[in-house]
Amino acid sequence: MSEVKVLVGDRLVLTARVGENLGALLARHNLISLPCGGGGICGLCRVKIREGPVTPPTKYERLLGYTGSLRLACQTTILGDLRVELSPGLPKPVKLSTLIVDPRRINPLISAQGGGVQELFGHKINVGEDARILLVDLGTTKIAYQVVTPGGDVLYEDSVFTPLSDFGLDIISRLARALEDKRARDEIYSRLRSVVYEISANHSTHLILLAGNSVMESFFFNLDLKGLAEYPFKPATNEVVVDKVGDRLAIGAPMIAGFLGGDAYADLIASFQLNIDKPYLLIDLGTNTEIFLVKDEEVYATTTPSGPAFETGISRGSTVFQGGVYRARMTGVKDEKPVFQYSYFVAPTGILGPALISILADLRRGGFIDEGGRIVRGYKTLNGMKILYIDESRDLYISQVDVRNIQKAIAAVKSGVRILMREAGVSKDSLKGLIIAGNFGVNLDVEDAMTLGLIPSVEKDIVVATGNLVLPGLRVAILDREYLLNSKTILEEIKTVELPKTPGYMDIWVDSLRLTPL
Amino acid sequence: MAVEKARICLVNLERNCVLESVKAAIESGVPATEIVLGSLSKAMEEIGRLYENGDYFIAELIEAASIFKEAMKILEPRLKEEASRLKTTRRARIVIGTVKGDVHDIGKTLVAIMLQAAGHEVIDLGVDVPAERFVEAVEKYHPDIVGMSALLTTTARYMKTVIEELERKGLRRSLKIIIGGAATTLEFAREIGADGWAPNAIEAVKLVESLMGIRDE
Repeated sequence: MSEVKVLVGDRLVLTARVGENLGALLARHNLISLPCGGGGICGLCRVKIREGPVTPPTKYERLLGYTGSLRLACQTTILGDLRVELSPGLPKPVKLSTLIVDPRRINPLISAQGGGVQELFGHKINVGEDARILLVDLGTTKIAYQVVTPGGDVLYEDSVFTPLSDFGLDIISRLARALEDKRARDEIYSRLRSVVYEISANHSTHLILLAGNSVMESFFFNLDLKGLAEYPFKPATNEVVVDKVGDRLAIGAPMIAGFLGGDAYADLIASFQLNIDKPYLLIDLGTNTEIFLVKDEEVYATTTPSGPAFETGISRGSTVFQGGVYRARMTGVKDEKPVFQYSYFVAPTGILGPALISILADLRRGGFIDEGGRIVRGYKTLNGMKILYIDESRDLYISQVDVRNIQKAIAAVKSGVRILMREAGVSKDSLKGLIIAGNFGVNLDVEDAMTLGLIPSVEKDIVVATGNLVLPGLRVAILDREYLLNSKTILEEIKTVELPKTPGYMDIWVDSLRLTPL
Repeated sequence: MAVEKARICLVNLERNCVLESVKAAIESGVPATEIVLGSLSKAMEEIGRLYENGDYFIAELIEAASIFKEAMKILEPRLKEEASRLKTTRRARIVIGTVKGDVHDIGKTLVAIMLQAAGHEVIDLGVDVPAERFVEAVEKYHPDIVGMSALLTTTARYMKTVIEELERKGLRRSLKIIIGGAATTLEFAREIGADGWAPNAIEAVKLVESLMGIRDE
């Protein structure tokens, strides 16, 4: 069966086979979900086929009326090159190249001119006329990558799921497995290698530049893991890692300290290119949140485990938060209960992180939840637990325990920011910029986040939400080789702060549980 | 009824009201034992329930424990004078710590606070505690229970090392060992040979009391 290209939106290109199911393809790339498992029943995986040959509508599609250009992806078989558009209301594919970064194109890592043999970190690499570099953000759940020219132009980008989900979903579980069992460790190593090697081979890249959190990056380069397993949490090295993946040279971004890995380093150097006045705060919100406070002469950095509450919403033994509502706003009060308007994709069976923040902020403003996080009015009681309905007809609600979990996640970030500002001697009012990195941040309503204290309350015009900053950071390193050749100078400026070891941390954390602006 | 008022005020976290009600109850001749058992302990149980359904949160727990402690200070001289039932009820002595390699303090400290509020004696070894220090503390304090905490899967494994070390020194048999923390589960506790596991500070108090035979659970 022959290979075809599926163009999603304007620029995302996926490779598929003739005869492959379109829904399965899009779901595999995390672009849509298949709520009914591809059964054609729920009608929620609809896409627009703009161009190209596909199979005729099935009986399910005829039943639901998707017989024109709108089709159900799960019922559609790819017959050739396609152009498809995700249904309006669906979240857009991650825009990895949406860069506000304008790197100084002064001193590229490999010269685009002339090609031929060039030396890099003691290795000779043969660069042809059409040199290509693979940039990899080796995430815990997703491996995002870009193929770029030495000049930083993005030729292709995509992401694949981690091949490590059977070793645990979080890095600490994987680390424990790898430390206990040498075979597990070898398996992790070879799987990561083969995924990256395959991508590199498919795109004929000459060089691989990779960044991950300290655990993932150490897995990839087969570095000693022991230091990461326990306090004081030290990666095996703070230098640029140089290795071969098959016949290709692979370079790992320097790991800063503890769980601040090469990805955090990439975040930081990308932020340098944003031309934001110092001091500024950089927060990469995720399961593990990295926080930087960048001053003129020095950088303060920390990490804090914010839990899964932000990325996947929360679930306490219920099916309430299984993805769905991505935007919500309280529009009024009826019978003393809050009324919400919301948008969803796939199905309104759950609430996603950014919507959760908006809902909580509105409930707080409306006085349904008090400063301590207690639900005080407008609620129903279900099995002894207070719940506030977002939409009762769809059994969509937020429970008291859910609020507690979000409070803990917020407190992790809030206390981190507070301590970093304290240690750096920078007050909120003197901040000149606030960068929110990570895909969660792109969809976040800044004002809502400020209401709850997830981010400091600063003038809105100094807040920038950048999306993924790791790949842009690696691009910056491609364009300005100093960031890799001279990383030591930058690392020396970074002061890492260990929150649990900071005096008064518990008091600040407990105080940060309050849903009040920071 | 000052005793009843003290209970209600403690549940509502009204410090002055609790302290005044306790004093008033003493003055009107209510035995200190009855104030503790009939009022304050009941209030703490009620607060535990409120915590578990999310109505109360960490700040409320800490505040409740702090008020309880202050009230106990007023009551203690009286309890000693009375041939108090509390004296015959066994209170536990617990050595507690976050194990080596782990510096997470909050969960363990909350457990210590709640145990103390429930009248137990707690020796807190802090964080990053190696097996030798647990052994030393057991030899020195002869506790009824050793409690260990860990937030990380990688450091939780170390609990097994501590248990083995206590066994090697012949200290294990006279002890109950309980564990907790985000990286632990009931299965894990069984696997490493601990006697009990609790998911939070409230449950930890119940666990200690059931291991001590104070509770009929």
